[in-house]
Amino acid sequence: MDWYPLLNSLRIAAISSIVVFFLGIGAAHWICRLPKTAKGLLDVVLTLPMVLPPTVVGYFLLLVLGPHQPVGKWVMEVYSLPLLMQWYSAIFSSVVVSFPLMYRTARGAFESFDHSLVQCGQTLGLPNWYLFWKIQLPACRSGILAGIVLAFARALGEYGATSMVAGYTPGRTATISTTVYQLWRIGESELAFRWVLVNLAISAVVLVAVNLLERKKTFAKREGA
Amino acid sequence: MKYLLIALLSCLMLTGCTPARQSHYPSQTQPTVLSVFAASSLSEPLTDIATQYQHLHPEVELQFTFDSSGTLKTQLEQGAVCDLFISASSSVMDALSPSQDTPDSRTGTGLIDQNSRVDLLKNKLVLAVAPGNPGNVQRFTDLTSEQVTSIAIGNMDVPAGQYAMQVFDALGITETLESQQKLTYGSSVTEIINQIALGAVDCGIVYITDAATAPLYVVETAQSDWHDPIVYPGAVTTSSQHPQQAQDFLDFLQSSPIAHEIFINIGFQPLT
Amino acid sequence: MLRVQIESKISSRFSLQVDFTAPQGVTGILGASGCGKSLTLHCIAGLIHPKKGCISLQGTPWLDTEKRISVPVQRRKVGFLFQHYALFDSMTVAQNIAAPLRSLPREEQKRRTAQLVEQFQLAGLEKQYPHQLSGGQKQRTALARMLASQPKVALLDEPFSALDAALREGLQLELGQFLNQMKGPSILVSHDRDEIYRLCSHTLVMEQGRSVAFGPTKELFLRPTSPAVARLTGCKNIFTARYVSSHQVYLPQLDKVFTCTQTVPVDVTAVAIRAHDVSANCRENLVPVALRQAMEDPFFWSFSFHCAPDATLWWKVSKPALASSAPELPSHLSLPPEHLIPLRAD
Repeated sequence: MDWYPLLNSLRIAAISSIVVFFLGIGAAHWICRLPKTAKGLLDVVLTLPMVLPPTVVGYFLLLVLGPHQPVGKWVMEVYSLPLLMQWYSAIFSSVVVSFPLMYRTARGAFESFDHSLVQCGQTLGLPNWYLFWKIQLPACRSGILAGIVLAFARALGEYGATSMVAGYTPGRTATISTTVYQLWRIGESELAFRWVLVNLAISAVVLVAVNLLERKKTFAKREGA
Repeated sequence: MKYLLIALLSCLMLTGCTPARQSHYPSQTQPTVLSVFAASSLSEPLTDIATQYQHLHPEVELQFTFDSSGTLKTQLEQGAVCDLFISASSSVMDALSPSQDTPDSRTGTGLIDQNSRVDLLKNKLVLAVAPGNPGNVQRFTDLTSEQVTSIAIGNMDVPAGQYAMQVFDALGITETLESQQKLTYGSSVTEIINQIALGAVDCGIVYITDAATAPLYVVETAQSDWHDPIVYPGAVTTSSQHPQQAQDFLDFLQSSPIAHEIFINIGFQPLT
Repeated sequence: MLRVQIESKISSRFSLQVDFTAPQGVTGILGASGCGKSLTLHCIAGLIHPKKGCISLQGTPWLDTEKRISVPVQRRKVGFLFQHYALFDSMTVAQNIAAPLRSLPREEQKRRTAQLVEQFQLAGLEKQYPHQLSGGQKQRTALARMLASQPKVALLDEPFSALDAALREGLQLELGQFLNQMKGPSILVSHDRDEIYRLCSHTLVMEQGRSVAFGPTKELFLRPTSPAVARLTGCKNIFTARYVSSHQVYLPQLDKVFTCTQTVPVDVTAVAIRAHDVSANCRENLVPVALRQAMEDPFFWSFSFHCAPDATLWWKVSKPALASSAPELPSHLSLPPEHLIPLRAD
């Protein structure tokens, strides 16, 4: 069995999860402090990729990243790097579709966070970045973790937009999802099913790991209360 | 928040308030709805033809589902219902025909009425690029050269993909291309067209009719002996509730001068 | 010392208008819930930016909206004790206390932390997390952490509201001792007048966003100047009054002229008398009364009487030890002239 799709999918999902982590909590943190109307509007805009059909998202990405389109052209000229039809092109599509998940969970976590802790920290002379990373984020740990898991799972399972921007070239841009789809369409259902099992196995491992992390924290909390 | 919800619901209700289809003869019953499954390369011509047909036959309403022939075949096998099926490949249609002496139980599920089957059109396969040919691809044999880094073709389930592979076989470049990892397999011709048009790939292999509608620039047309004949058969399905009306439309497609003109304009060759 | 002047519209229905100077020592802010006491504290700390205002400590400006000066919170060096202590849940007691010391070398951090743990009797709890502590322990941790940052001003927001009544008195004593050691002024916000009386040398009285009185605590309680202050300092008997002469007032509700030992100002609007100052033994300023309700507390009786169609008179009498039956209720009660306090609306 050609294991390339597994390696490719894992690295794409891992990288896009990291990117989405920073983008998501950054956006959530900034937007939490805006007035209500701006908040509502931005919420809608940033959640859009989640509700749009992936092929629409893919088409839009082609419009932005194509070699004759503004962004793609600039990158090509400055870095000689094609943005489409490469293995890393799938990172763009995965980031766009999984960002809303991270963003919304982070936003929810931050909204329910007791900001008086941060205010108190400020009166103690602690700098804002310290308060964000060492006080706010740890307090919102479970929400953030949930967001990362969702983002990772979404990135792993992403098909439509990835097919558009990265195409399907076995051994180069193939991911587990595009491989499964292609195999199934040409009638290789047994092989396709094996890949489905691989996908399930990865998801199970990630979920179990997160559960264990969560259990450790809740257990410690319950002990004292 | 309350008012937003009311506004939203009102909008939804208004969209449902489209006037009932105005029948020219108010005493008539609702028009018969014919569901047609057709290969995506037929979307433009069939939509135009349908407008003309409905002028002449207001008692019939045509509804189309366009997708790759392979996808449509799978849907029919899974129980989707339609009245008329027009495929971009004979083998797909064969797979849906009732078997008489084929030993393989997978073909011949008997979903189409064999007697109604006719070959409607012929198409050609071309090597297409975005207008302006930024990749400077000149011919099929250029595909193996270094300047071409990516080629989009359909996957094995898309007839255009199967034909493309046949062309590569005929030119003897299949193995080279596969080892060069230049081929990207799209799940539908629409996907491939988008990728070519926006420069995501240097070139792609589509039908001449797609290149016309996209529009894409045709670099070279494949010779007909490089691949199996690209034939578009049409047939009435066995599950159709309106076989007569479906047959009428199929006849119209096959022999009406109006239909022929629309097909020719795009690049199809009607088979009479 | 700490000069505070704020004028800010917070919402369409609430404006903050505060003006006072807190001297060295503990200043209390007394007022009902929602009157803006916490808001004032947040403004002083710099957590809220009023639209118009001027706050300065020893002449150093922290906020001056006209000159567009606004010192960020971190640089004001205010110690803020939040109502629920705002301890960092993901850190231990020791880590909480050490948090403000993070810019110091490790050894120094350890030394200072140990010193504070000792000072606030938190020995043995260093490795505990906030959710494992009792209310009193949480408060002491919060205070230790606050002291670690060496604040110039201490701001305390209802420090005892989160604690059991039984613990309060003891902790109030402890807090009093702690505050006496503070180098700069402290401001304590509370709706409990006993707390304010016990701990604060000066008091600011607030009502509906406005500061209505400021002065030495004992003075304010003994001789409230306005109906609002009288009410907030616990005076239950307040009657509308009109000027008759420099020692006489007319109370329309009781339809009678009353004598008053204190000089009555010409613009008097009301008089007050504390429930325990009402007397059954004096012969002057008598008022006919009819019992409405009697409430028995462990160590005293509280009676409310009808004294006029639209007026109630409260009388508080301490029980002699072990007495359980109610004292005899007279038909008239006196508002002794020496305890009648003339008030002016502000």
